[in-house]
Order: sequence, then structure tokens, then C-alpha cells
Amino acid sequence: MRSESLSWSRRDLLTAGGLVVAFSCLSSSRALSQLAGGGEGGAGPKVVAPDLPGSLRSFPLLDAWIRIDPEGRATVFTGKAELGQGIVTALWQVAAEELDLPAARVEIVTADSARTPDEGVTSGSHSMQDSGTAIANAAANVRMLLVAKAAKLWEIETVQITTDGLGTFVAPDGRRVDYGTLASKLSLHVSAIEDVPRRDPNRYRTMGRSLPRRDIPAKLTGGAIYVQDMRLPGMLHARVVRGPSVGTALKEADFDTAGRMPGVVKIVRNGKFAAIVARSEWQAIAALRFLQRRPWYRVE
Amino acid sequence: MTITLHVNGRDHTLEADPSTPLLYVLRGDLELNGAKYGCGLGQCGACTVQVDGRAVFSCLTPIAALEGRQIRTVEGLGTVDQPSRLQAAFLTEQAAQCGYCVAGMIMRAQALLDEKQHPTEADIRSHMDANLCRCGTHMRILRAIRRAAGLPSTEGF
Repeated sequence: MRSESLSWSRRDLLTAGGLVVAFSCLSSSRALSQLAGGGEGGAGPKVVAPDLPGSLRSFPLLDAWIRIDPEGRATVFTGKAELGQGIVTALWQVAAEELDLPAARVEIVTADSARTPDEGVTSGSHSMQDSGTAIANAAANVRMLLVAKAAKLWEIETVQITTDGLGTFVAPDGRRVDYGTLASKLSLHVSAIEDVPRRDPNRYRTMGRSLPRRDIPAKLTGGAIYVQDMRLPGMLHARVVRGPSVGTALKEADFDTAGRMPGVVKIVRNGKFAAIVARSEWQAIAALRFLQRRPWYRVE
Repeated sequence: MTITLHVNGRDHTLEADPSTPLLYVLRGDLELNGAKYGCGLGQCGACTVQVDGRAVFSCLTPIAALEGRQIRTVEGLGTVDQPSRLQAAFLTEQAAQCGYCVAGMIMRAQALLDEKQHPTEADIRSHMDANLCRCGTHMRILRAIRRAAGLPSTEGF
């Protein structure tokens, strides 16, 4: 059974009260795309590496997720957004743990369309499932490649090398090399592999501990942290003109007078749609309120 | 009209319609992010700031009423590096989920602490009644205020 032939809606299923068990033997791209980055409300980008965990399926290259500068500081990229659910802190802990770096030496960039992987929407408890597993695996891959580099440098086996949790690899004879030195000799523009050595949970240093949330300080001090705090050069403000309540519309709206009100730059009209654009937010609201004083009618 | 508003210890002279609610001047003209638009009706408290020490809804207070008054927003309390006692208490208690209400919560609580150095639990609860947190962080917020007021945490209360 191909997933495309499944056209039952949630309502159909609830009405029928039945049990539907579906499985797919064919790796249709649509079925796979539903596995990565989608969450509620739509699939993420195309799957190119179906065997990798989470959003690595769509973005398998390590440097899409993690970069390490010559000073040994890591920058981690996630396509999931912090909404107060604490995900930026949780993902930061995951990255620090699997890199085995102190959390203070890991920076994390969230949901930046120019810099981070496109992980679709942030909802449906998918952030840890998709981004967390991708970052954990990518970080473990990066650590594995750094260990391999150290092993080559010292001409010893990789299994003999340990990390001290402070940004240094250590050989059994006490020789040490820091992450930055090794990273500067290494390209992370390579694909992750699935079967990668992971940190032993019994030796976790950062995961499983309660760290202060990274987003809270700005929220307590008026920092720019919500989309409402974004101010662009020459930014204007708009309000959509609607009736006074759901299911209503204005009749005979006096757009001419509204268009002459202070600060009003433009009235956008397209069929039954109208919006007011003004220099300041309050000027847009004042013009909207003026228009809403006119009579209204019930829409069918 | 031209109006001078005294915000966080500084005078700001600006051009605005006298009916403009303070919130829009704080966010739009002065680019202060702390006070938030929530309901625009004085029903949620996200826009709360202090005027002459008292907690007011900035979404409902026209600037015409504010010349010569001392306006204080959360930016006037402290910074990330040097938070005020109350902000530090919110940080210690991690008293925010989405955090949209929290600047308003802090400013309402500050008004109480400015008026009463040692408020009781009942004082805190009745004073904070006007501000809502949709995420349900109220218990942490109350713990943060108790902490700043030097009251015992009263775990589980």
C-alpha cells in the first residue's frame, strides 16, 4: 500500500471508529519527507539521506550544523525556533555533550533562514526528535573526525584517545591537543555517518543537568527577542480593515477620509480586502478605528 | 503635538497625537521592547509600566496625561549584566516560559515593592491579580516576588 492512496481524513477515521494499520514497502519520497522536519502543518525539505537520524536526513553535511573555530569554540545551527519551550537551551546541551565541550564554549544559532538548516515548522514536539537527534549525531561525527585527526597526529589508535570535557584531546602518554588546532586542519563539509560512537550516558557532563535557560535574561530586561521587537529601516505599520466582529464586513467605508488621516501612507485594496498602511502603529490603528465606525453587515 | 516624557530618568521630546497610548510611544518612538501589546484593553497586564511609582496599563494611558510624570519601564530597572534585585529573583526562579508577560509582571511587582518593603503573601497575590500569564508560570513568578521581598519561598503553596 502506497501512502499516497491513503485518503482518509482524521474525521473519517473517528467516525468509522476503526483501527487502520498502514505500512509502506516502497520508499516514496512523500512518505519519507513526512519523517523529517515536518512536525504539524507540512513536511520539511527533501530527504537526501534516509538512514540518518532526524533532520540530518535533509541536511547531512556536518558544517550545516556545527563549525569549530581555531580557538576551539563551536557554533551550532538549528532550524528550530525558541518559543519559551526551552529548546535553544536543550539543543545547546545536546551539542556540548556530544562534542564534549563546556557549554560556555558552544554558541547556538536558531532559525535563521540565511544560516541554519530549514527544519520546517517548530511544533508538535518535533524539535528534540528532529533537530536534537541531528545535532547529537552531527556533534558525535565531528568529535569522531577530530579524534581520528589526533590519532593520525600521534600515530596511535583512536580508542586510546580521550576527551577531558574542556576542549582537549588526551593521549595515554599525556600528550594533549586542543579542538581548535585539530579543527583548523579538518573540513567539516562532509556527510554524517549513522553509526558513530556516542558519549556514554554514565559519563554525561552537560545533558541531564538543569542549566539556566538562555532566552530568559533578555526577556527580563527588555531585550529584542520577539518578532514584535524587530525594527527595519523605513518600516511601516499596517492594519487589515475588517468588520467589528467575525462574520461581518463594513459597508460604505470612508477610505478617502481615512487616507488623509495623519501618518497614513497608503490604503491597499484588492476586491473585498482592504488594509491601512501608516508610518506609526498607532496611526494605523486610529485610521482603522475611524473606518470601523461606519455601518457593517453580516457576511453570508 | 510636541510632548516631553520623562522615561527611565531621561527626558524624551517627541511629536505625537495626545491620544496616543503610552505603549505605542514606548515601543514605536523610544524603541523600548519591555512593555508588550497583549490585549489593548487593560485586561492582561503585558503592557504594565510604572507612572510615578504606580503600576499602570500603558496600552490604555494616553500620553496627554503623562507630561511631568516619572515613567519607568523594565529597561529602567537593570540590564542583563546588572539586573535589579527583582530581575535577579526572576532569573534565579527561571520565572518565564514564553516570557511575553514577564516585563509587565516585573513592573507590577516593582510597584508593590516600592510601596511596601515587606509585603505579605496576601499583599502579593492581590496586587498581582491584574496580570495574566497564559503559559501558567504564576507559581514561579510568585516565588520570584517572594524571593525579592525576602519572604520564604513556601514551596508548593
